[in-house]
Amino acid sequence: MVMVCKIAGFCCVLFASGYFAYGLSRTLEQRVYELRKLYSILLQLKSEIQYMNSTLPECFLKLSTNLAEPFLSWLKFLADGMQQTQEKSFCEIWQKGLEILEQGSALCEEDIIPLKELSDKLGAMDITSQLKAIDYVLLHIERNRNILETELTQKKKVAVTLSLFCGFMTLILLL
Amino acid sequence: MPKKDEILKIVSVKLRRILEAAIIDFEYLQELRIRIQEPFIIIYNGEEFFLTEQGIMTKEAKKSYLAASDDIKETLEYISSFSLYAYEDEIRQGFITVQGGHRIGLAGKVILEQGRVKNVKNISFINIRMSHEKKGCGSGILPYIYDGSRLCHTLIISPPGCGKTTLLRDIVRLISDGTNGYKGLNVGVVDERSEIGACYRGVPQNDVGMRTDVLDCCPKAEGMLMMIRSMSPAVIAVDEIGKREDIEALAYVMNCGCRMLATVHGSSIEDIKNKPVLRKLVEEKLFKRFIVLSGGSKPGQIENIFDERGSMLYSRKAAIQVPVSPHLAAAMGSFT
Repeated sequence: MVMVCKIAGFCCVLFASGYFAYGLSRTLEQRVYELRKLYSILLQLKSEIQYMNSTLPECFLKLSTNLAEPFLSWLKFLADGMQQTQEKSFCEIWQKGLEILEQGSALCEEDIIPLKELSDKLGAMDITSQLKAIDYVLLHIERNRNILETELTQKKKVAVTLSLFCGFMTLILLL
Repeated sequence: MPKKDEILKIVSVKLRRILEAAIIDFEYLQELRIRIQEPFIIIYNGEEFFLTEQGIMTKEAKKSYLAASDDIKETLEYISSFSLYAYEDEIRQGFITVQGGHRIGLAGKVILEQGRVKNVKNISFINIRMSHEKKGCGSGILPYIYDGSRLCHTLIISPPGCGKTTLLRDIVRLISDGTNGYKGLNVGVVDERSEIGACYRGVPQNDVGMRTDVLDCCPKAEGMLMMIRSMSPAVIAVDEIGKREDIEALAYVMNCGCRMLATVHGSSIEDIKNKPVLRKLVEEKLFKRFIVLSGGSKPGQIENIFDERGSMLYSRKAAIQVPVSPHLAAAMGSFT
């Protein structure tokens, strides 16, 4: 019976460490996917501003129609917040929206920081300035994505190795 | 949406509370003036009032609420849906049209590029003018501008602020819908300054009639030709002609068989004749009817109506009314 319990415990620890490794590598992949999606959203926003001359609530509502979470909630929150006109500045709505995005996505703080800088630029100036500000964020996102993609395989290997190593160490300690 | 909601939606929350507390009928509200660190002023039923923080209407400026820079910033954000860049062209002209056709005049520091206005920054002065349609003000004129069942090319001459756009809008509505035996016609409105239709997101906020197409914020000369090519209108209406290219486009439209309705700044036909660009309109008899509005204290009052030969068809002072068509007889007494 003791042996059976030990084997079961052994399996559980190995399964947990394996699952943790899987979770870590999935988060890394998810971040790459979300950075790619964010890049495409900002490109679409740019074209809506440049060619359609749409207002920001219109842009966000339109962009949200074909998107899944976490971008759907983020863009819907922005569009709704701006249509309500209830003592909230654009800066406040944008900052709050980014909090929602950060909580619901695999994006890191370093991905969100360039977006935060848009809070005092979006909506307030002429079209050229809008486009330049978005271009600046696009540059940052692309840079982050390139770094992540280059390091992705290595990072995934490290995550799997470390997780399994931790699992084995736990087993040794328990034995 | 009621006029009250349309206005409250676009002002800062602080000003919104003041207006909500004030005992006013928004139908009589004509203007709101917001200037940084200056009293909050409203023009109500033709009179100027200051509004206190409690929403009390007063004539004493010192009791008034002083608009803060945050009020201006917040109001601007609401007016532009947090997207001032989307109204760059309108701001360059000095105003934005919002839902309901209300006009928001803006002033601040002008940015120039090669001597032309590129944008306006540091906007510190806002003037919200309520849209007021005067439906029916053009009904008495219709018999004068029709020759039988055929609409005549018509020019409305008036000094600024005397109601020529309001009159033109109502004439457009009546021609488009058709009224009192006059068949409804397809009307194309080239609305360069969004004054006739007051379009908001492409939808005219003023009633311009069921057979009217509006080309919004489009230069008049280009717009008239676009209308002809795309919408085949029977009538084209434009406001405030004055440039050489406007006159050329107008002549082209007339040669295409379209009827023309236009307005121009001036006080009389002689005034128009003295302007080098506009002289052609009178001398070449391009227009068949000239409606002159009076510049007196009563806006929208028709002073005279002439035909292309300069014969007076109607005069307010002399009360001359010479019928030129069977319909005209029915109009006798409309202006007296």
